[in-house]
Amino acid sequence: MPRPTVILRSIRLPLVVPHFTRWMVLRSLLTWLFVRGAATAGIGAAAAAVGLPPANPLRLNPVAALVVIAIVAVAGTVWARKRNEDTFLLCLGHSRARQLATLLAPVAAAELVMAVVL
Amino acid sequence: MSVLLRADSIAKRYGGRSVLASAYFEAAAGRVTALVGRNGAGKSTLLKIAAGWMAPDAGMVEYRGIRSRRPDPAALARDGLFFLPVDRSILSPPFTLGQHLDAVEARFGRADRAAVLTRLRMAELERVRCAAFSGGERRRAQLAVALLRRPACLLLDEPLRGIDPGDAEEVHAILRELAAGGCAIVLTGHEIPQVLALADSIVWLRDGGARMLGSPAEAAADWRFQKEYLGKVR
Repeated sequence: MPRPTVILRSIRLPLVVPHFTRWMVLRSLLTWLFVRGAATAGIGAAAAAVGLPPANPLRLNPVAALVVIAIVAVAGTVWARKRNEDTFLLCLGHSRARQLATLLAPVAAAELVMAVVL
Repeated sequence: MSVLLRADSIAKRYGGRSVLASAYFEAAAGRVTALVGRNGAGKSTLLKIAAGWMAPDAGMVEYRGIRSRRPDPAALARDGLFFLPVDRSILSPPFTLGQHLDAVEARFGRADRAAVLTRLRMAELERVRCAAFSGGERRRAQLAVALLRRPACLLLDEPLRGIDPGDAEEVHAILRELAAGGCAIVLTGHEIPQVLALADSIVWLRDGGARMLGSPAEAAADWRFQKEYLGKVR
C-alpha cells in the first residue's frame, strides 16, 4: 500500500514545470476573478435597469459561463505569447493544447464549483 | 550516417509570393548542415516547417522515420528535436535563466548544468532575469537551455547573429562537440567564413529550391555560389 505522500506526488497537473505552471494558474484565476466580477456587476446593473426581480447575480447561465472561460482563454494565451512562455513550453514538448488545458483547468473547476454551490 | 530529419519537396507561399517551391534538406546524426541563401530565400521558413512550427503548402517532413505533412512540434520536442528560432526568444523575460534551466531539468532529467553555464560564460548570470540580458547574452542563454536539453537534433536559426567573435568561436566549438557526440545539427547564417568552417555540408537555397553543394570546400569552389551568393566575380 503506497504512502499518502507518494500518492500525492504521483498526482500531476497538466503541466509539471516549476514556476511556469504556478504563474499560469495564478494569472488565469486572477483574470477569471476580474471577468467574473465585471459580469456579475453588469448582470446586476442590467437587471436593475429593466426592473427585473432581484436574482443571484453570481449565478451565470451556462452560455455566460462559457463566455467567461473563453475570455480567460484568450487573455491567457495572449499573455503567454507576450512573455514567450508558449515558445519555451513548446520547446519542452508541451503542446499548445496542453498549455491551454493548464490555463483553463482551474477556471473551469471554479465555474463548476460556483454552479454547484449557488 | 543515419538521417534523423528530412524535409522533402517543401513548398510555401506567403500571400501571393512563393518562398519555397521544392526545397529539400536532411540532417544526419553527427553532422552539421548549413542552410545558406540570400535574405528571403526561405531558410527560416524551412527550419520552422521542419520543426513543425509552420505548415507547408506541399511536401513532407520525416523525423526518425515518421513522415507527416506537418509534424506535431511538441511531439518532436519530446522526441529530442530542439529548435531555436531567430525571430522569437524562447526565454520568458520575467524569469531567470536558472528557472528556465530548472524547468528543462524537471522535464528531461539532470544534466551537467555547471559545465554548460561555465562554458557559455553564463554562470554569474544564472540568477538574473532574462529581461536584463543583452542580445548576445540572450543568444548564449538560449543555447544553454538547448545544451541542457541534450537534443538528438538541433535546429538553429542564425545562431551566430549578434554575438561577438570570441563567443562565436566558443559556440563553434560547442556545436562541433555536440555533433561529435552524435547530435544532428542544422543551422542558418550569413556569416559565411564561420558557417563554412563549422558545417560538414552546405545547402544553398535559391529560387525556391535547394542545391546540395556538398562539403564547404566544394561549396567554396562552386562558381555559381561564388558569383550569385558570395558576390565574387572571377
